[in-house]
Amino acid sequence: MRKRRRLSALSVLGGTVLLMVAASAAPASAEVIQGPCTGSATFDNGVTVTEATPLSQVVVIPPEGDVDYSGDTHLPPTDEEEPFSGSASIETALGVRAPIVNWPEPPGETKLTQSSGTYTYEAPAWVPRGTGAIKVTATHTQRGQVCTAAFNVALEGDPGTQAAVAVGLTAVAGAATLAAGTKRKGK
Amino acid sequence: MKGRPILGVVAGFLFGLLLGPTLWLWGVIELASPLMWILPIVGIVLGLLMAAWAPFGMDSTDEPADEPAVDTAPPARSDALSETAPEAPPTSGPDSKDESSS
Repeated sequence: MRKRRRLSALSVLGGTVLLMVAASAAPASAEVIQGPCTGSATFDNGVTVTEATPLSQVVVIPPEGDVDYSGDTHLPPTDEEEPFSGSASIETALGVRAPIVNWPEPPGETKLTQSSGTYTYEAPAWVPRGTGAIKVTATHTQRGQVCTAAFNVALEGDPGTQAAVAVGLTAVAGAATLAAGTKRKGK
Repeated sequence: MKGRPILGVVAGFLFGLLLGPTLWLWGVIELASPLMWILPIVGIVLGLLMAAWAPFGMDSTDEPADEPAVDTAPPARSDALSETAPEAPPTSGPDSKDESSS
C-alpha cells in the first residue's frame, strides 16, 4: 500500500518535472512577429538590434544613454497627414504587458512613412541589472497596417542586493516547505 | 497525511513564487518564461508530497509497545513527562544513612 502511494507520488513529481522541461525549452524565433516594417537601434555600447535579431539572442544594453534608431513602414508616400500610433512594452509571464513608451507624444498625425533619430532613455533605479532576458514588444500602426516586433534585452550590471534578498526569502520558503514533511504528533 | 499539508501548500506556493524571480534575477530564465507560473504549482505539489511522505520527526512505531491502550492525558504532556522526569533518588536505606554519617 505504502509502495503504491510512493509510486503515485513519484509519477506526479516526474510528470511535473517533464512539464517544466518542456516549457523551458522555448524555440528560437525571428524578431518580427507581424507586418513588413524594418528598423534598427544602435545603443551607446555599440550593440545594434534589427528586425532580423532573433529572440534567442539576448541584447545587453546600458541602463541609460542614447539610442540611434531608424524605422520604415514600407508604405507608399502620401501628401496628407494621417494618424499613427505605437507603443513599446515589457512582456511578463502569462502575457501580462507593462508599457514603457507610447508614440506620438503628444498625439498627432504625420506624412512620414519612415523615421530616424536619437532617443535618450534611462531605466528606473528599481529595475534590476544583470538579470535574465526581458522581452520587449513594440507595435506601430499606420494606415491600417500593424507592425509588431519583439526582442530580448537585459541591462548591464550586477543584480546586487535584490538577488541576495531573493535567495534568502526563497531559502526560507524552501525550508518551510521541507518542514511540511514533519510528522504531526499522534499520527 | 502524516505531515502538515496546509503548511506544505502555503509554503510550497511561496517557494515556487519566489524561485521564479530569483532565477530571473540570476539570469537563469527569462522574465516571460512560463516557469514563472509553473514553479508555484510545482511548489504546491512539492509541499503536498512532503506532507504525505513526512520523512522528518519521530515515527509512531518508535513508541514503546507496553504503553496502555487508552491514555486519558494529552499526548504532548505525557511525552514531555516521560522524557524529562528525573529518576527519583532513594530516600531511605542503609547505604544513604552510612554516607551521611561518615
